Amino acid sequence: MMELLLILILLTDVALCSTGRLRVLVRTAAWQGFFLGLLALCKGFTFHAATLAAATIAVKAVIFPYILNRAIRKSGTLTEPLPYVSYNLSIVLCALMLGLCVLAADRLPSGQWRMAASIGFFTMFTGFFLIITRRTAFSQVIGYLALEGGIYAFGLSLWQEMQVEVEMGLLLDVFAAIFIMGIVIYRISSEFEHADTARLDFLNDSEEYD
Amino acid sequence: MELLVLSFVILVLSGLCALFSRRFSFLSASCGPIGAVAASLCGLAAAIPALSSAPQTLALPWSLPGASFSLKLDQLSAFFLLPLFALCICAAVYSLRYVDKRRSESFFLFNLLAASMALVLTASNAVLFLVAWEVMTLVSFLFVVWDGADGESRQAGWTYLVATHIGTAFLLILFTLAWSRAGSAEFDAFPKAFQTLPFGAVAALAVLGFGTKAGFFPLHVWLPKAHPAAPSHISALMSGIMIKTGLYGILRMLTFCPPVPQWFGWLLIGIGIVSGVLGILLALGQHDIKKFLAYSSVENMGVIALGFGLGYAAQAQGRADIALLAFAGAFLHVLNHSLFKGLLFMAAGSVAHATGTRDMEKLGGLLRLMPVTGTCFLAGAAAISALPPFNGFISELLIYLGAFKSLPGSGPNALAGLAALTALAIIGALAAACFARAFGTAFLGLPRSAAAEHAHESPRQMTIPLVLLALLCLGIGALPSFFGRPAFTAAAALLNIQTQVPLPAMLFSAGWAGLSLAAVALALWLGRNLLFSGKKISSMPTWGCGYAAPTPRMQYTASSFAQPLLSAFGLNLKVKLEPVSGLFPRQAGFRSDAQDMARTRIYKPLFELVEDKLGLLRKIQHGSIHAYILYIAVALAFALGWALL
Repeated sequence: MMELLLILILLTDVALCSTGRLRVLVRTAAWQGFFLGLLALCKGFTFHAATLAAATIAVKAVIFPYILNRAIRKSGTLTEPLPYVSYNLSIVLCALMLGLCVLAADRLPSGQWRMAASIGFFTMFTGFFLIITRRTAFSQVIGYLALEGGIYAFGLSLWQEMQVEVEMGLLLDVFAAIFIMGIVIYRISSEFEHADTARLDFLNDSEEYD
Repeated sequence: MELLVLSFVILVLSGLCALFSRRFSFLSASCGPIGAVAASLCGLAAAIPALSSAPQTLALPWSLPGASFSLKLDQLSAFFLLPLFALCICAAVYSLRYVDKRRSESFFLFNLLAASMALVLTASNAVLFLVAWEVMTLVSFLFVVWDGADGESRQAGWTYLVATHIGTAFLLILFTLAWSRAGSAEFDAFPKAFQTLPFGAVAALAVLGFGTKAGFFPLHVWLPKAHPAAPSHISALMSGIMIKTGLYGILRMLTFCPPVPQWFGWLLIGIGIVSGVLGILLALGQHDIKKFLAYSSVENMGVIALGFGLGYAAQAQGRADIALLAFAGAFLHVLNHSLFKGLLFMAAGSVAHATGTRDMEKLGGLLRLMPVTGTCFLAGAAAISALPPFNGFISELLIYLGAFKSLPGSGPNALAGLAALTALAIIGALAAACFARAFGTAFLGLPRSAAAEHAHESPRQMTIPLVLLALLCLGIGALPSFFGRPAFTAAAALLNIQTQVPLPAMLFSAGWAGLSLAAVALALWLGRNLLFSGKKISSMPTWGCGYAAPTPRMQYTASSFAQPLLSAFGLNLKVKLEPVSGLFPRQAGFRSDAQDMARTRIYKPLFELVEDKLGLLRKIQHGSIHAYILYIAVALAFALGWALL
C-alpha cells in the first residue's frame, strides 16, 4: 500500500515537471496532496494519523486547488510562458535528481521507510526545481507546495510515531502562506498585468539596473 | 542584591506602564520618570553598601543554551552603578518637561535603557551580558534616530549601528573562545579559560570590542555623530554612562586574567594620550555645541584610559602605591565625567530647547536670559576643565600624583609617566581653552541671532537637575576626602588590597584649597555687592568699547577663537575664508571646521576600498528571485551531499 502511494507521489512529481498548463499543475498538486494525506495512514490507523490525513487532504486537495484556481481565473493566465528550462530537459533533470535522492536516502538510517525518505527528498527538490525554473507565480506556489510535501513525506519516514502537532503546525504555516500568495498573485497580476516574477526584478534596489 | 533586583523590576514595570497608559495623560506623563527615580534610589541603596562589602550574587536558571540569569554585585560593578543611578535620577526629572513628543515611548525606552545598562554592569554570565549589551545598543540606537526626519540623524544612527555591531562581533569572538575553553558561559569560569588563551589575543579582542563602545580614538567615529543626534537627556546618559560600560568591560575582562603585563598598561596610556589630545583638539573645531561635547567625551575617556594605563603599568612593576593613586584617579574621573558631562549635555539641551539651534555661532549673551542654565554650564565647564574647587580637578590631580610618583628612577615606566604628564598638561590646557570658547560664545557677549535674542529660561523641572549636578560637582571638589573614598575602595578592590587604604594627604589639602578658593570668590562677590550697594548702576552692551554703531557681529566668533590653536597643532582644517580686500572692502567671512582625521584618513579610504571590492558581488546579487532560490537549493544539496554521500 505504502509503496503504491509513494510511486503515485513520484509520478505526480514528474508530472509537475513536465507541463506548463496551470490548471493541470493545480490538479496534479491536488492529487499529490491527496496521496500524501493517505500516506499518513500507512503507519497504522490511529486517531492522530486519521486527523492528520483528514486535515492534509482537506487543505491540500480541496482548499488550495480552490484558491489557486480562483486566482488563475481572475488573472487570466492559463499557461506557463517560456520556462527557463524546457519541459523535456526538465524530465531528464528530474530523473537525474531522483537518482541522486535515492543515493542520498540510502545513507540514511531510516530502515523500511527508506523509500519514503528518498521520495521525500525528490519531492522537495522538485519543489525547488519548479520555483527556480518557472516564471509565473502560480508555478512557484505549486513548487512551494511540493517543497512542503517533500518535508512532510520525509518527516513521516524519520519519526517512529508521527508528531501530529508538528505536522499540523507545518500545515497551518503552508495554509497561511498559500492564502497570502493567492492574494498577492492576484494583486501582482492586476497591478502589472502579468504574474511573471522574472519581470519583477526591476523592483530591486540595485542602482546599476537599466 | 534584592534592592538591585527591585530596581530592575520597577524600571521595567514603570516603563511598561508609561508605554501602555497613553490614554491617561497624567499617568503617561509621569509614571515612567517617577519609576526611574524610585528605581534609581533603590539602585543607589543597593550600590552604596556594596562598595564596601563582599560580592553578592544571584543566579536564576534560564532556558537559553549556556545562559543563566546570574548577577554579581562587587565593588567594580557597584562603583559604576553610582554614576548610572545618580545621572538617571537627574535625566528622568529633566525628561519630564524636555520630552514633548511621543512621550510614552520615550519614557519606556528611557527606563529600558537604564535597566539594560545596569544589567550590563552587573551581569555575570556571558550570554546575559551580551543580551543586555545588545538591548542597550538597540535602545540607544532608537534614541539616535528619534528625530529621524532629518537625514543627518538617520546617517548617525546608521554609523552607530554598524560601528557598535563591529565592536560586538569582537566580543562574541572573545566570549565564545572563553566559553569553549571553560565549558561554561559564567564569568566565574572565565579566569580558567583565559589562562589557556594568550593574553595578547584577549587584550586585542577586548580593546577592539569594548573600545568601540568606549569611544577610544580611532574607534570613536560613531560617537560625535550619535551622541548629538539623540535627545539631550539621552545624550547625557550615553556620554555619561554608556561609553563607560565599554571601559567597565575592559576592566572586567582584565580581572579575569591577572597578572596584566606591563605592555598593556603602556598600550592603555598610548590610547589615552591619542584619544585625549586628538579628542579635545577636534572638540575645539566644532560649532555644534552637542557635537563639541561629544568630542570632549572622547577626550575624557582618554584621560580615564591614561589613568588606568598608568595603574596597570605600575602594578606590573610592583608599585601598588602608584597604581592605587592612578586607579583611584581614573575611577573618580569616571564618576566625575558622568556628572559634569551629564550636566553639560542637559544644559546644552536646555539651550537648544530655548533657542532652537545648537550652532554656537548663532548663540551669545544667553547668561542674562538663562541665568540658571548659564551658571550651571559654567560650573560644568570649570569642572571638566579640571579647575578647583570642582571635581574634575580632584580626579586629574590623583592621576597627576600617580604620574609624578612614577617619575623617579629610569626605565619605560618613568618614560610612560612623563608622557602621561605631558599629555595631561596639554589636554588640561586645551580643555580649558575649549570650554572658555564654548561658554564665552554661547553665554557671554551679545546674541548673534534672533533666536538667541528671544531665548527664555527653561522650566524648573529642567533646571533643578542641572543645579543638582552642579552642586554635586562642587561637593566632590570641596569634600574630596569624603567622596574620594569610594574611588579608593574600588581601586583597592581592583588591586586585591583587602585592608582599608589611607587617603593621600594631598586630597585633604586639595579639599581645603578648593574650599578656600570658593570662600575667596564668595568674599569677592560679597565685597562687590557691598561696594555697589546704594550706587547707580547702568548697563551697556558687551563689547560696547565706545564704538559708534557696535553690532553683535563684531564679537569674537567660535571659529576665530579656535583658529590660532588649531593651526598651531596643524590640524586638518577646512577653512572657508573670504579675506578683506580693497580700499572699500565688501563682505568678508571666515569659518573653520575641524575634519576628523580618523574619518577622512582611515575609514573613508577603507570603506571605499571595501565597497569597490564588494561591488563584484553585485553580479551574484542582482534581484532575481529565481537565482536566489537556486543558491539556496544548491547550498542545501551541497550540505546534504556532504553529510550523506
